[in-house]
Amino acid sequence: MCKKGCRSKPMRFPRISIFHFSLFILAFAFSLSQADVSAEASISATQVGVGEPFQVTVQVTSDEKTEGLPWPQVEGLDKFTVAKNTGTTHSTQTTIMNGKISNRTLFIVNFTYTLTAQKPGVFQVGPIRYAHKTYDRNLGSANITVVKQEAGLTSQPSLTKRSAYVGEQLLYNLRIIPSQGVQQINLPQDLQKLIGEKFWFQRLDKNVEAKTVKVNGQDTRVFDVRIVLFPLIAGTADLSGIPVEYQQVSRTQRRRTGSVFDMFDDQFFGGAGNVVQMTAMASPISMEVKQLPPEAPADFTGSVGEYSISANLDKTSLASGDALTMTVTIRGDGEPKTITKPRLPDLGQFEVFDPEVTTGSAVQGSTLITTKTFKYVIVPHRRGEYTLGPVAFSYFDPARKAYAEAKSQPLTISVTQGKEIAASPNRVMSQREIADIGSDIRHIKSGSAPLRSENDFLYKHPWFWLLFSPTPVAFAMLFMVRTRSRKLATDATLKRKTLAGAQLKRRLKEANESLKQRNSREFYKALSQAVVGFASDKLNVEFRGLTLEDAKAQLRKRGISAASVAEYEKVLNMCDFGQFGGGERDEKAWKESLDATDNLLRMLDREL
Amino acid sequence: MMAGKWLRIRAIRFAFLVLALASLSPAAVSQQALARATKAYQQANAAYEKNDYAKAADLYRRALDEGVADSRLYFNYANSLFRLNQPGMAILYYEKARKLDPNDQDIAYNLRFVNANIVDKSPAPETNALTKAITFAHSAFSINEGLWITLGLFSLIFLSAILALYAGAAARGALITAMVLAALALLAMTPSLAIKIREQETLQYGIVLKPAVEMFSGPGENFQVLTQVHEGTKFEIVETRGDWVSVKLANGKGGFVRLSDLGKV
Repeated sequence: MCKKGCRSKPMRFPRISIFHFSLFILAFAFSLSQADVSAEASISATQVGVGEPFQVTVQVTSDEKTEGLPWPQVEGLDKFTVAKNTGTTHSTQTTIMNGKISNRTLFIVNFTYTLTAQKPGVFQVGPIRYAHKTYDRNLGSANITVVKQEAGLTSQPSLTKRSAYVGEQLLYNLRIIPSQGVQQINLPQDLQKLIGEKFWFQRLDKNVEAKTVKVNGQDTRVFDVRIVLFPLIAGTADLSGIPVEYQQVSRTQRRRTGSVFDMFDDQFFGGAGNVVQMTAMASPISMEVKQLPPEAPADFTGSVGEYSISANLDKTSLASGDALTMTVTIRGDGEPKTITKPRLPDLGQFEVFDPEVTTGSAVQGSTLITTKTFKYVIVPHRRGEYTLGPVAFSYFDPARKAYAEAKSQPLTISVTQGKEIAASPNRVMSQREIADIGSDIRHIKSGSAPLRSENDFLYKHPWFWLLFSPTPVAFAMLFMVRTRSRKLATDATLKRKTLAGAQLKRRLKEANESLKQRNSREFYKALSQAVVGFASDKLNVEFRGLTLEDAKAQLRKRGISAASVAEYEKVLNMCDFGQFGGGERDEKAWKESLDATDNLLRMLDREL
Repeated sequence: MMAGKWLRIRAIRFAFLVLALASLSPAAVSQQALARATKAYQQANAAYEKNDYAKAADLYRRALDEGVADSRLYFNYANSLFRLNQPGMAILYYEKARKLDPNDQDIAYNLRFVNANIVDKSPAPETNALTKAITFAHSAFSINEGLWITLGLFSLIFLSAILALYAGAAARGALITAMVLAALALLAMTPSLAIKIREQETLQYGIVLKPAVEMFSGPGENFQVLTQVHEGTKFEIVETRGDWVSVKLANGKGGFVRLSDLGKV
């Protein structure tokens, strides 16, 4: 606790006292006697309050440059806190003597002592002595009367707990008790630097209002600055002192001269006291921050304190495919950022969209309460009566020193038949798909028709490809037949040659018929006609009527081999013998004749 | 006599050739298996009608185990799977059914319906009227139907030609017109059929059967996870490498998924 100001600074130009003036004259006299260096001393006040700073200044004037000038020797400074600084200026003096103009540059150094008394009393400052080279002078001394401040400010910090868990809410209260003459109390803007990284904090009150409380049995006007703290790191945590700045209006006693100008010292004219910017430093506080127990629930996100959760629906009855809003509210006194999404029950029959989250905070007494609301849009897929299990939120309860779970009451929804499945707004759907939504799948295919194996693809079966062949083959054949028949119609030779086989077949049939009737003559006649007719048709030469020799000559002429010609002669002779010479009568001989004829016709067929 | 022998020899050779080609045909499902599958199928239909979808699915599964591939069986099985809240499996069997019977409107409808409610969605590409018409024509018949139509058109061309050989001048004009039209239809038909056969032989599709499946950049879990695909998502199977399958999604992105996470259409 710091009851008095720890630092101060003058707010007004120091007034010149008579003592001050006499000291100045004395010093000036000395300065005249020394051409190179002169010194004088001055003091801003001889009566000050405790903690009120005042200045003692020694001004040294020299022809030389001021580097290396020593500080004055001032006694009696041990009763004060001292701050020293220097300042340098220079001036030029111009003199005309006997018509000659000469310039002289003077360097002036001010050695300033800012003194602050820590306790009341009368203290001597001085003697003040200045020595440099040949210059050595006593500049005098002065008695300073330090009086107790009539006004001031007391700051009393307090903490609700000196031992807390990580994340647990604590209240840091800084009670400011101002005295008379205190005005414009300010806390530093950047509290985070002072509170440090070991805490997350928030001021409870935007504006600090004065209130009157009993202090030591007396009504006292106080200001309470309330800050909630959440320790972030386990271990020893130090809250450094928080400086409270204020303005102190101090009245400095001045000897009355009885002149009319004394009236300007009256407070009415603002000249009766100094306004001093003061700072009261609150004492630091140390505390112990405990680590949370291990084995936290899986969904624990660091919330420490007392929490509650509630859930409600904007409607409890709707059609499938329609949307409803489930609002889940989590409320607690832990660090606000630690409240995350709650654990939802199994909503397998629902489509659940990401929630809209809003966060709010309120002060209840001296506690910061955070409320986080999650609004889920959910769409039931199917009709039915549903009971949604509790929505849960895990936290650590420092009062019970255990993890706990806040649960909401179960919710009941009645879903009637409607759209079976709702269209999700974040999905890309075609118009056709949208049109489909709201109906069911089509029913199974029934019927007693036996199953068949439909993956037996035709192209894997060679027989299928063979089915492509009949029509082109038929076309080709018919085309050729048609072309040939047209040709035969216009070419008699070709026609005769082409029909030779058919004629032969007919004649051999006649021979077979004769053979069945055992008519030897007719049999050999038919064979003879078949051989002669075949040769005539093939060669387009009429063999009938030709002698055998002529016929053989024609055959040779047409390139028939000698063997075939000889066979031709042999068969015809055999037929003549059979017809006209009584011939063979047994079936064996007929059969041999038939084979010989067949052999001849093959030979002729090959060669013709 | 000689010609008759010759013809007999040719006929015998042709018969042997046909028998040899027939022996190369794929083995067909036996009649006994078809009968057993049909019985299970009808029992499954009865169970489905009684809303006993689990029993229906089990019986449909038995019918499928007989080796029967019938679009009705696939369709009904997919319906029962959908009722049992297995959208991935349902899509798989709707796709199998559509492959066998691309013209069936019920299959197309149910497939659209289930696809509309899966997580991963591929927006249908914008098409113009011409593309739509070509797509419609292409999907208007199955492979076997296309093959029969092709055979019919081919035969019609030559039959018309045969008739034209002997027809009078007036009829010949009509026959030639029919022949030209059939030839044009055949020309239009053949590429579509060729594409279908090629797809049947070379392209294979898969359906994600698990709620969420990670797609890796390589065939192993040590590779980078590219994305996550969800149940019911269809993709093209590029190749199979052991327990991993290289796949290509409809948006062109590819990766590897576990073979056990998908079903092949």
